[in-house]
Amino acid sequence: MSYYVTVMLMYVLIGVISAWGLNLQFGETGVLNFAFIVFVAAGAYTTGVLSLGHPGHGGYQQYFWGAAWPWPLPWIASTVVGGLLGLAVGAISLRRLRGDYQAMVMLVVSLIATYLVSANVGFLNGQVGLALIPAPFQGSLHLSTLGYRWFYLGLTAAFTLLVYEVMRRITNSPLGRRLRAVRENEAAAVALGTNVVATRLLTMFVGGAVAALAGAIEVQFVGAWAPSGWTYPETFGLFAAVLVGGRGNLGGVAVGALLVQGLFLEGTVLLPNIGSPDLIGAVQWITMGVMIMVFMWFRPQGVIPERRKVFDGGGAATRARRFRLPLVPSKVGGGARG
Amino acid sequence: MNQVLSSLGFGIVTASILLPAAVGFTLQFSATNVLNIGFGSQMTLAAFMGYVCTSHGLNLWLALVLAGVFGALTSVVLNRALLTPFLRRGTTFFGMIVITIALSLVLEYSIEAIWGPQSVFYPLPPGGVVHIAGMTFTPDQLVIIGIGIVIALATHALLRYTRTGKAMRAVASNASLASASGVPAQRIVDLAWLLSGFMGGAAGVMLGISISSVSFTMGDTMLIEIIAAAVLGGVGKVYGAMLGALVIGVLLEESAIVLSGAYAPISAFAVLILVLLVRPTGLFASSAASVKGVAA
Amino acid sequence: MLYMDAPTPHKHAGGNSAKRWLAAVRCDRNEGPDMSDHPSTRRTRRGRALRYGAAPTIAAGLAALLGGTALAGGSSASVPRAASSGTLNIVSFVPFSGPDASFGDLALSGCYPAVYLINKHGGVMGHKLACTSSDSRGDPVDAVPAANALVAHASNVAAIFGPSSDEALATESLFEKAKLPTFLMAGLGQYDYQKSPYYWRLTPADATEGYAMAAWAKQKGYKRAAAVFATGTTSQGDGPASIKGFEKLGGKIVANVSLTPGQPSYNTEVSQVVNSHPQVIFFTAPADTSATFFAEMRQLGTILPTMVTEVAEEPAWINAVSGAIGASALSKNFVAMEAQTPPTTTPGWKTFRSALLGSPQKVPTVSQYLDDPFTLSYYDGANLVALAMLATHSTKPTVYDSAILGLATPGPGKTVVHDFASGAAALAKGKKIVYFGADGNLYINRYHNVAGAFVGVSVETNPRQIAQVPTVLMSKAQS
Repeated sequence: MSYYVTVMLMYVLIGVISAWGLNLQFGETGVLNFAFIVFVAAGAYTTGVLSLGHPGHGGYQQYFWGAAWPWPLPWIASTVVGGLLGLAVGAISLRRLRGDYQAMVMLVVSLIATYLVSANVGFLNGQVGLALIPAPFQGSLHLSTLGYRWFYLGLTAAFTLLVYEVMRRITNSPLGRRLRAVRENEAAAVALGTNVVATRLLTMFVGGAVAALAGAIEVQFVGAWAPSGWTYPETFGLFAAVLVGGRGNLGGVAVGALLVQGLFLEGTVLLPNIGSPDLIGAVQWITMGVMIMVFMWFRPQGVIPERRKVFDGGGAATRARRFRLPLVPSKVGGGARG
Repeated sequence: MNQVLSSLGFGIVTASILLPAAVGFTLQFSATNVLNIGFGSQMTLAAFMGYVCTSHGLNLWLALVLAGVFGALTSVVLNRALLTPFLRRGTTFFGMIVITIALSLVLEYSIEAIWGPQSVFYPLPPGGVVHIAGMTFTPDQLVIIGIGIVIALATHALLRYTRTGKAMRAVASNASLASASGVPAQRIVDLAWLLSGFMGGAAGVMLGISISSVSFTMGDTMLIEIIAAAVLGGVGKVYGAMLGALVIGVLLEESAIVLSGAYAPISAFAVLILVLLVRPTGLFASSAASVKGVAA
Repeated sequence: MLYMDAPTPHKHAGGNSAKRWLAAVRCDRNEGPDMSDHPSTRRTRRGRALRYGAAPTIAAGLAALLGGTALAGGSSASVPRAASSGTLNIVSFVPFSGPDASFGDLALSGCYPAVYLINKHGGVMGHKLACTSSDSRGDPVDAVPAANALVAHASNVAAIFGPSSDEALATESLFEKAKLPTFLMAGLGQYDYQKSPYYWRLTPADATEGYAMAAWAKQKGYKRAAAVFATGTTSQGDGPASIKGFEKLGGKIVANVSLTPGQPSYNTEVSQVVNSHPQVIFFTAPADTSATFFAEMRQLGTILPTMVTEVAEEPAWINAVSGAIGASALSKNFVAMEAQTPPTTTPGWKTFRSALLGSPQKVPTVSQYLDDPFTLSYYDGANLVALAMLATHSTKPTVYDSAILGLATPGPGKTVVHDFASGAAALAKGKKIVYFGADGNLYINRYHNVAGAFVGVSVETNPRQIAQVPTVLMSKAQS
């Protein structure tokens, strides 16, 4: 049973870290990054490749350079790769494109990434993916499997705290106000001298790095990684966590990740025996969809709403937001048509 | 050369399926400003309705029309019952995207729950082939191309020559101005959902015929290509969507000649992104489009 | 040759008076030096094919199962709840959703008839057996929590059927720790020489299937072949093997084409294949991709002789492709490489057949599974587990697991039994037994792998075995 508890906690923590990364982009800055899961994957692959080491037996996968970097180098590398990828994707999609185009291009990017990895077997081992990825210190600690899991969980918790601290500092800094200014009222932000594109790119960099870190942590826990684990609907699950918890509020987002992950892990235990096993997966997704809608209707600000910050995007907007809506009311500057 | 021509034939078939879907998607978007990510699953649902019809012995083409009608009705109902109330509450543009994503999850997995994870099939009569200018078509494919052309022409006629069409264009270019000039906005919005649902439903069945199977993920898989076609032509631009459908459809086929088959879809999307880098609002977007466009 | 007595064609007893001709006796497995140690000549693999959009998410569901408190999720409405604490569960831990959803039924199709007969005979030492399932979703990230949940509730799990290639490597350390007999559905080369006492693979490695294709093509005198594989785990196993093997046998690969599943058309790929003028195609792809591909091939004029894998014998695949090109074109041009199953006159198979058809719990299209090597081996796996419990007087997995190999290996003074009932009776009399069930002698080697012959099977609703794949050529292909 404790095995299962450790897995639950691990997935929740990984979910929390990823959701915070997404929250910085979507919750704080209003960037609709539908390719978010790609950054998680990038981190997972980077850490996987850098810690696989030399092939033991079998021709199952390519071992690339046979790299077996000591911890935490693979995680650091993952963070860097995720951040740079964020910059690259941001440079393509956020620089000149309108908001609606951005969202759609992100979806396309997410799909291209899966195609690219699946199509080329020599690159990250195609659809089969990487497996048998070693975990840090597993050989040297001499812990029992369970003991090791608790150790790894502790390590993850430490990194969760680290990410929390980084996120907290960003949101409470002048930079954080700039992010929200871009979200709330782009035209006003521009008028006040904010470089909107640079601000968005920055969140792509930081958010991408955080996502990649989550991926790095996850891959060394799971030990395997394949394209089927990071198709584009996965991103929607993270969006659900951010929305349910309360975008713009770190604690809220963490609660959201807990709820969504918890529902997905434990929800099935509560479901009655309803025929074929694949129904359980379907019902989970349906529940998730309904849950998003219900929250958007009854509690659009999330379980724990964003706290009012100093910058209020032009007075009335904040007030209105508290009662109406969590999402960018981008009416100004040629806002939503209609 | 032969290869290029033969691929062109199939590219045209793909384009003929993409066309109604992309036109429906973009038409509805331009009239209502809701980016409907649920469009793909609505297509799938209609395609399964077509399957229900054919499995009750109905003719395939009749089933296609019925699926289109079904798609149109669900589209209107979904808008009235779900999306409009959210809009009335003031849910923003991006909020609506999230709602339609949720809708897409609910629809897609309800389909899986009802019809199972494995594909179903339309009864396709084995027929001969027709050779036209070095291209090979089955009779089914010719009908599909025909439907694509008819929908393109009908859309053109509607927008160009009817009062309703003109009203739609007015709403698309400036909703508040249009309603100030007495255009009945709600009716136009309903009509846009109706048309987009019909076209999506028809496209769903056409896709099922073309790929010889219907699965619960098929519409969502196609959605990315639909979006690519719509974005390439300029979001909200009906003629742009037609051109985009043609370009993406043909590109998907032709690029496989040069690249390994597995890379073909990548190249189509790569072209999309390249085009956007040069023309950020798509091939067909006039300068006016960026003015009235969504800013955030 | 040890037990087989019928070299002539037999009327197939199963299904609807279908004719199923068995071309030859089951291959002589003692032929060749260490055939029995080499896990290369038997059956097919399991891998994945890819489809987008179906993906489950970050967290996997704890699929139903196990335990007095949890639920029994089965694949039919009639699944009994694993209610009484005395019930021992055989859990199918394979994909039930996603692109490889068909694996779920494959595992259950073997479990149901075995459990039906065992319970009919009073169960095992007062315990009833039940088939339950846990959906791995075909994805390592989702499979890990599901596997953990399974193991967390493992107190009344008797055996695990699975995992498949999709999730095997991600979950293996966990299942090894669980110390439960685990019957892999994974054809990864990794497990060819695996050493865990709890892992059993009664089905062959992926690559073997590719070598079988090569050997079959060579024997038919084909010199030019096109390799067409969808991106996916299956293809990464058998694709390269078919190419390497065919070239080793002196053939030429004139086109090597990979398909991305879920595309609206594969015309260009089809043209490439046709224009390279192959005499035969080596092919693996999921059902809907295959339907599109061959519909377009027919449209370009001809359906070439095509060699496929065991996936093509699944109902979904046959429906899809026969819908696209017609059933007659399918049975005429297609040959599937499958592990050879025994003639339908063997007593073990006959009992299996009546149990499969008679069990109140059934998978859909049950007749399709009558000769599926996977179904047969899972049926045998369940019986071996139950007999091992009786033989060791224990329901402790670590105890009875060690008896499985002995029960499947013939030896002097052992009574041959063909089903659970006769095995239980013989054990009760204190006899030593060897179990030759639906699949006959399994020839399990010390790596808990099996070695056996391949046959070419027609692709249709009631498949016929056409001929055996020449073992000499197969060994040469993989040398």
